Amino acid sequence: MRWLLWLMFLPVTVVAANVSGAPEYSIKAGYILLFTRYVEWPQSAFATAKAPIQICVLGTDPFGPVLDQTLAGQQSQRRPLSLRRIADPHAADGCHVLFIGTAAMEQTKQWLAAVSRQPVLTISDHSEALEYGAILGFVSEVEDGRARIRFEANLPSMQRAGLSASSQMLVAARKVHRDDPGI
Amino acid sequence: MAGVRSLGFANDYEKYAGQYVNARNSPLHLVIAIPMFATTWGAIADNVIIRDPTFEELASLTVTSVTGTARPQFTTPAAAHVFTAEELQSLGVRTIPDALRYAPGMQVSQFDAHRWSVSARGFNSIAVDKLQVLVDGRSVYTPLWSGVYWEQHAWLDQDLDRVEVIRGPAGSVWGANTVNGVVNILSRSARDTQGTALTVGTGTEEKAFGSFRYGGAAGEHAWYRAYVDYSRNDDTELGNGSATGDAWEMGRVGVRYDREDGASRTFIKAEAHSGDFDEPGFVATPTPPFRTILPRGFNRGGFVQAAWSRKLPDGAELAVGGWYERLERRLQPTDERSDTFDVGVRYGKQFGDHVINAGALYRYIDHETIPSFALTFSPADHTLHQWSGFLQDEIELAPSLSATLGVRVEDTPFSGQEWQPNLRLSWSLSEGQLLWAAVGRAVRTPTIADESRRYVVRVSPPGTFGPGSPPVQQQVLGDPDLQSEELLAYELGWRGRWNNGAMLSASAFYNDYDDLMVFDRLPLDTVTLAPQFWRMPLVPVNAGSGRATGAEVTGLWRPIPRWRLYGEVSYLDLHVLPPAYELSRVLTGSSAQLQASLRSYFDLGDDWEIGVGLRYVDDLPALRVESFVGAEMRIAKDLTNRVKLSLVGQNLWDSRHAEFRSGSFPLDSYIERSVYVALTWRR
Repeated sequence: MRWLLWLMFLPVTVVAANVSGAPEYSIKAGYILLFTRYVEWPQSAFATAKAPIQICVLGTDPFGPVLDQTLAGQQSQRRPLSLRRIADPHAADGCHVLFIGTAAMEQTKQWLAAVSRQPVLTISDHSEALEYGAILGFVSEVEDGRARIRFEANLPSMQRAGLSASSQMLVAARKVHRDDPGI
Repeated sequence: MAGVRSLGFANDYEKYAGQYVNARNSPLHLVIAIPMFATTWGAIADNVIIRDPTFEELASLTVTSVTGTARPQFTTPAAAHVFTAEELQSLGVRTIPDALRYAPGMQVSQFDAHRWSVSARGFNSIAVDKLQVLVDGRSVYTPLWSGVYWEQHAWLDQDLDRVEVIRGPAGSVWGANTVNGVVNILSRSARDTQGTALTVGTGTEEKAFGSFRYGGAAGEHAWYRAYVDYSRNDDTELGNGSATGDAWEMGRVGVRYDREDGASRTFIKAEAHSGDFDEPGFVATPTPPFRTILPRGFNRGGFVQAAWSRKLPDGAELAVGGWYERLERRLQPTDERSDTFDVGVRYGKQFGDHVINAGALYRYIDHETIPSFALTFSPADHTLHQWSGFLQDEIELAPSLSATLGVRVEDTPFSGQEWQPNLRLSWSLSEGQLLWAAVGRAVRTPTIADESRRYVVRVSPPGTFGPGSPPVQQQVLGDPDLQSEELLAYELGWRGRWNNGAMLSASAFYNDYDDLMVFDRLPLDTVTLAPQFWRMPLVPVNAGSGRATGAEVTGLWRPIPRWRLYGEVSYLDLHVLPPAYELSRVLTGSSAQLQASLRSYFDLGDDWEIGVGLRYVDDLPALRVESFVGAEMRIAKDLTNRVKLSLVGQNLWDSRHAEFRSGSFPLDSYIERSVYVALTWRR
């Protein structure tokens, strides 16, 4: 049974460390996977009953390989998940989830306007974007030098997009904006 | 409203809030001399991939600290250790005793298939009575002799959240019998167990097991789950290779409900269990051959528990809770029934640099025993009232220096009022280093058994004590005048963490025990039971004292995100005096002086995981138990994203080994190497 000792150190021999990206994006990737499970799209948003849920990353991609690995092999609502990176909101046709990465707020605003009223779950890295029509926004809560990643949801925007989210997801939100905060 | 010093409610993540008032669980963890950490998962340091996330988990993760699994809050001024459910499952651990084998400072000796000795910092014995064990805040030690019926509590809950282990006395927080440590077993909130989960498995020792859970929502802020578990276990093996005769099976069914809104939390749990046990060995009888085999034993019962906590408008926090438990148990040598009611209240508030917590607890125990020739209690039935109150002040003396003063006064059934004070200091040397020190007094109070037992260990046949002598009963008696056993403990600890994902924790202690119960052998009594019997009685006396010195070192290292290593080394030097008493000599030589363990968890990619654990336990000279190495290994693969298959080997190092032997439990059982497979399905 001495071989067990060697087995314990197996990782040293078989693994090359492959670290990139910031840890907060591991958490955000986890959220994106969960969102695809708790948000309901209209049937018309999918070509067929087995069509994948398309997740698109618009602009600068902060995830590195993390989002791909988080979504790999996963299913949501009996549909496979696919991931695309796009440079321009006009390439967003067919996207069900649109993550808008690190971009200037002015640009985010224009991009959000370009996809408004389409059945696309828009997620911004910054919660201020909720005021410009983003449906979900990430927030960092800093306490004692440690940050937790949470999200806020804008219900009127979600309704305008024709989407709905389960109460389990909304309970998890740090804040649910029920009135349009822009007005 | 930060961290440890916050009044908890400021912090969303302290999700176990309501679990129990008396339970010094999270939000109230200030109550607690020992604030455990706020999050379940701690923090992640690298871009790990989070498998099967839940909203709750994601919200509880933090992004700057060191590890991927829960650790005691870095600033906890106590020798604390935390196992997450994930960590234990990744090693294929199925029972709490098997989990605690990997905890620093703890010793687990399995006697047979359903009996374990679980001790902290020494006093490994057939009846460990100096350890407090709580399940979701409900104290589970028996009022009969203040030990834990592990056959009832051993199972790892399928929805376990974590197991917290605190070594050292914590009587000011947890009450009497928290002499050498506390084990706090916490299950998940129903909020985190939505959906269906089914596990089935089979193995060479655990022949068949299965568990099923369904969780759903009950309104906007409320959740529930219902669950059922079953397990059937094979015999251990005797020295000659035959079966010990200790096979057992048990089933459990329960529900849990949690409600959490902005200001208040409610938690309700109800559970029933029923287990049947083959009993090895013999019990004394009054007629030849003066012993007989035991009938099948059982342990049945259930409980209902509820707790509620609320943040008051002035920032203070109030919690109340209670539980009722019924137990019917017949396992060698006792046959008992009991009803226990427990209610508690707690209040906490911050005043400037002080965080004050106060609380009170009342417990009512109605305990009946069914007398037999082998064991009687006089009277057979007891009604016990136990109350206690505690006060704790956590003071910030300077930005990096804080003190916690706590005291608990307890009115115990047999020894009157007991005061258990505790002082803890913690000093942050830097962001990554902490020093702490503590001194405290704790007591182990006399129990029903100590005061009123008459246990006939065996009957020697006629003629053994000379020609014409009648049969002689060897008896262990109780004494109503016993006092509490007392401990004064001095502890020192250090913790360090580094940016490369490493963490190290060291603690050292000196324990000074007094009034320990040992047994006096009275001369042969040819009068009391004559002419039928003579007797050789053993009576308990508070004549023992003891000194223990020891140290524990725990390390955690995560060289790469997919690989975690944990290591522990524990050293203990215990002397129970005076050596004239047999029990003193046995206790001195029955705890492992050196124990060490190493665990490795590795995510191989492609949905393969591997966990390996190795542990060494020193020999126990007084019990004639040799040192041994234990090894566990689990390989698991996600077959689909809902189905997981795991293959687990336990006690792999050698084909079998003994962990405990005792004169009063004369069986030579061996724990065998075992293997099981399990299939889990979730949706």
